[in-house]
Amino acid sequence: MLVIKGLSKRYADKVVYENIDLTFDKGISVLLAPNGAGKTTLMNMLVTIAKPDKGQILYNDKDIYKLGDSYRKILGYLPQKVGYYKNYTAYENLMYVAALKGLREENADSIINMYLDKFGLFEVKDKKVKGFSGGMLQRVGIIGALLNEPEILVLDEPTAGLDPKERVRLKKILSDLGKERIIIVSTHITSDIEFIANKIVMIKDRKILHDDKVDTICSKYNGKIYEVFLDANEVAEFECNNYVLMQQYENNKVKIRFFMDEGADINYRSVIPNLDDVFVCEYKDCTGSEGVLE
Amino acid sequence: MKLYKEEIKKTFKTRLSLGVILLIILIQVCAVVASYSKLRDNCKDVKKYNEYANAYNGTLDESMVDVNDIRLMENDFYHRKDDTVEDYFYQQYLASICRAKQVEKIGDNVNIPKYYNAIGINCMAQNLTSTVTSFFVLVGIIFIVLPVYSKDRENGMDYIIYTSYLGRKEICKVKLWAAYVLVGLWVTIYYLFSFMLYVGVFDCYDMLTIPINSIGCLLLCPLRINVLEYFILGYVLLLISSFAYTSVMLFVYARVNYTVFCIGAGVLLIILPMFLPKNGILGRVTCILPSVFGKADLIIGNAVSINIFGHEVLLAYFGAVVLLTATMMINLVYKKTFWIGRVDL
Repeated sequence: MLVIKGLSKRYADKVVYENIDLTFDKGISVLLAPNGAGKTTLMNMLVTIAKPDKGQILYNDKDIYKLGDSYRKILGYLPQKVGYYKNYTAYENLMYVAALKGLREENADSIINMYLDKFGLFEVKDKKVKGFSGGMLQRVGIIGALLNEPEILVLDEPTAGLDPKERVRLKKILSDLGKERIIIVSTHITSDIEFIANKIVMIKDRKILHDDKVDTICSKYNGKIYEVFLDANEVAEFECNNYVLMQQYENNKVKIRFFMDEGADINYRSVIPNLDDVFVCEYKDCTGSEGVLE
Repeated sequence: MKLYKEEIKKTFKTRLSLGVILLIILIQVCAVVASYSKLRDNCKDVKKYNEYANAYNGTLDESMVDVNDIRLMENDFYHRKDDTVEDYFYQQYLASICRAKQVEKIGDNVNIPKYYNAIGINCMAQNLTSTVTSFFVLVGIIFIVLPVYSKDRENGMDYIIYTSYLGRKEICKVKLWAAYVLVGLWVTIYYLFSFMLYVGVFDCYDMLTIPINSIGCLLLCPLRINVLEYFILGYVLLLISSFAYTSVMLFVYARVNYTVFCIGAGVLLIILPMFLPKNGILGRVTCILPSVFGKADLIIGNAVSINIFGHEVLLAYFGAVVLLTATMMINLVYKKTFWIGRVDL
């Protein structure tokens, strides 16, 4: 179990976290926040690249900074910008990562080949990665993070650059891996994790906004999300008076999905809130320009 | 062991590094071939020259053995451009004998006048023990060591390295040793290749065992060594200066984020000492900087020694001790501060 206790962090004059507490158990935990909210900062602290100003991060009741190398031995990390050597083949890149993780050459070879096969890269393993697509590079990065069979897997925006097929493949693999290890994923794309996350951590204004299961978080918006069909000329006026989450054209009408805290018109159809609705509602005040920390 | 291999491999996978190395070697080949085509006619008539030399058999006097005599003869020769061939060889021969005797009574070749065709050795000495070699070797080092560092940051690998078990624990040590192994390999290949090239092209294998002081173009060497030993000593000096330079460069690479700045800092460190005045205290001090120290002529010539507490110490010994100490000091600081500016710890 990975526990964050009373953690505070600031960069220069910007406070990123103020006295937060979190617990990560086996399974997939997702850090969900808009760009600039401090997801990567938290990730950096979890992988010992950055250190909190106050508070502790404990793994099995031991401070991870005191554990040092023994903590990093059971850690797998995929940074936001996937690292690779352009002139190396996929196999050579992974062999280098395997060397960093202290794997023996013969073991590394079989593990790398197994994952290359699992992630659909076996056929291109001897090709230089400079010719790879973003999705292929992302997969190479994920394999690198998995090579040491980590107990804690930290993935910063793992689905960035992946096409829908690759996203499905990754989600399936993460689901499998999450059965026996702690997986912490950061993202701002809710559809990637809605159905595989064991819990969602939403961050806002230096604090933890929600730390619960998807259903529990969504249920807080029960009776507050509605849908209505309008004529095209009515949309502008409606938008002025309501917080619109989504609009879609259907049979010459516009389907509007919106948030209304109370007193909804009986003509509006109440719908089951999803994570997208929660995300948009919770961060409606955020400009998305806080990217300095990302 | 495997991580060392992976770090060393980076240089061999970098086209820029390989390109620069090949270019330097190509320039060296051209330099040797150009020297040979210019001087090859002078290499052939050894028999004839020895006949000239034989004419002076028994006429040499040990009383002439003095450094000042040698310098006078050399100056005299350079001023008299209309010398006959005989005069030239007599002076060369006499100077050689005097040089050899100045160091010690060598005996073997002192009393029998013999002309050594040392043109190849002269060319080799002028190349391998000069600024040219130290310049090329040190420029090569910039590009050889660069991939071990800059590739990590440029390709976003540093975060993976810092969060890996062996990465954090070993990376500093591994990178240091990988850099030194690469540099040692480069200096050895460059020096040995150049040496073999000169010996082969000028066919001067027989010259390797003659006293270094019997080589005409060189200034007096206070050590009793032969040509081969002189070049071995030159290699050791170059190796020491290269390791010192590598340490400084590693220090720079670990702190500078952009490749172009790394290269700029490296080139500045090579070129700057070359343009500093060589006279007086500053001149003596700059002799110890890698790019100047890399010239093996520190063991010959006028600036061979410095006075330390009343003792004359050969600059090469002094420089070697200073550079090795500096290398160790830089390594210690480097190991302690390797993470600064890279990781928020």
